[in-house]
Amino acid sequence: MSVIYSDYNVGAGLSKALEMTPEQVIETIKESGLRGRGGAGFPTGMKWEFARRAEGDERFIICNADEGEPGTFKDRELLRDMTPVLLEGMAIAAWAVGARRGFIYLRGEYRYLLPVVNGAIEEARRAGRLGSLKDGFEFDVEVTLGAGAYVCGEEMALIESLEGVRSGEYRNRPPYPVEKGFINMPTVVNNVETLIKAAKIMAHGSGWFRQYGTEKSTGTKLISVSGDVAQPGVYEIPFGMTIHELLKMVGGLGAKAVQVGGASGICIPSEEFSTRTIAFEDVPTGGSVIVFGPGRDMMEVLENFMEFFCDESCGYCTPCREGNVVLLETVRKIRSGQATRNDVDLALGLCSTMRLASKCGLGQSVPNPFESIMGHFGDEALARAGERR
Amino acid sequence: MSTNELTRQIKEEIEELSRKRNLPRHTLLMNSLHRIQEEYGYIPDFAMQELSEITGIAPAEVNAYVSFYHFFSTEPTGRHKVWFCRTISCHLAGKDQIVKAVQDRFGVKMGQTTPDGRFTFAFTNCMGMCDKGPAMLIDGETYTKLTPEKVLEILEKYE
Repeated sequence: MSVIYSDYNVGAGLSKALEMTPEQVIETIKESGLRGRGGAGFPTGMKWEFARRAEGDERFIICNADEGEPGTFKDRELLRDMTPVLLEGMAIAAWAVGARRGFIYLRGEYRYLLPVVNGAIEEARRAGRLGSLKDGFEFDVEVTLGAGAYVCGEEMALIESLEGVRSGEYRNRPPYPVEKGFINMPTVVNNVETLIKAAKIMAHGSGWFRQYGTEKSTGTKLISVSGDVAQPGVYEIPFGMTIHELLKMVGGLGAKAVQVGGASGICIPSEEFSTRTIAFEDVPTGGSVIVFGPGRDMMEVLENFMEFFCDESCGYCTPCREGNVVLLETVRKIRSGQATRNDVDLALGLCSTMRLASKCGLGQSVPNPFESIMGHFGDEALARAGERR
Repeated sequence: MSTNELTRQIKEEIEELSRKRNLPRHTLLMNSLHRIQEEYGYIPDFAMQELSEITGIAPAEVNAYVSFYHFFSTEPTGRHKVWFCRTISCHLAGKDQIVKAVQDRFGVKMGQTTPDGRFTFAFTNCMGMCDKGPAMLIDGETYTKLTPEKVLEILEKYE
């Protein structure tokens, strides 16, 4: 069972795509049911179609290689091993939407991969998989290195980073990047894994892809597993796998809880391991699975997450900038035995505000870990604190 | 660097990128900053001033942009920049012991530079080495599965 690691001749997907019209390519991707692998799960074919139909003098394809969600490292492996296929996916997207240029936004932490990625770009140019691809269709790619900012993995912040604009300052949505993205032109921002899968779908067909996964989450997902397991690493699983099956595969049975989707994801306690599945319609993830063994203090985990968000909030909108600090203080209060039920309730109320009123995905998703960890382990922590008092 | 203007070489490289891309000049900022930091070890004030002229972005906005990123520094740093991952998986894997070993050996805290100017140590967030933690970056190279002994051995190799 493998999509990503299936046998593949580099160039096969691009050749197939170039034999089709852009509309047929979009149709094939739509039929496959492919959804964004960065975590948000937006249908890829629709994204391409919106960008194709939007007004603009030029269009851009941006590969989001800024994987910064804690616990995610699948793109690290993909960039190391499969940049040629990624470039093909970008060229296919470019043909579909009518773009001439693309960027790979590579996170600063992966600077050591820059020679690999640039080498693959040069090789693709020599091999005719970049450059002049068809009469009247040219496409080329360049890399921009990030410099360490989690929020730049959010597509609008990423675009602003490329533009030389301090993230968070200016943009509300709509309009979305597919209409007005990079330098206000229609822009497709896709995750590394999404683009690689698009290339494979073009080569093997949408039916091949749909044989894996669930009705609403077709295909497979790369999962980065870390924490208290015997075999951490990158795994490819079909959507719809239960947490229990996943833990069995990676040597993590006996865990107390699993954080799916990284710091911005949700915490699943052991009671739910056999019923909850990895899928957009159940527990969505960009690929991060962090496993906590029986001895772990979940308030320590939550404190680490909240420190992360306080540090990475761009500070532009108030609910996120101030809210994160209050949530962190609440967790610290619990850990030091100073908190009451009332503190927790106030923090949970604040979570609703943050979800509703934050401008981007960062502030909007902070309530995911806070509510789920607090919901499952807050009472236990408060009781412990009570005993100490 | 005693000079307080950007070298001709850097300016030419930025102009070359600009010609090649033919995009609005403000899009040159990120690439230019990486090049400048590579040259000077940090982003000096005069460089931000000149970048403002080159890109058409107000100086204060260039400064705001620079300050937004973990990996850009507006102050001179040690010869080697060492970043320790402090995020969850590296935390669970024992990053506190690694950091303690380093602080004990060099007598400085995170965010500080050793008196001999050899190292600047700092925390950073998840660096994508969660399956191999605890992890650190030295001048862009990654080191993983650190132990208190191993981290000191590695650091000794950097002059």
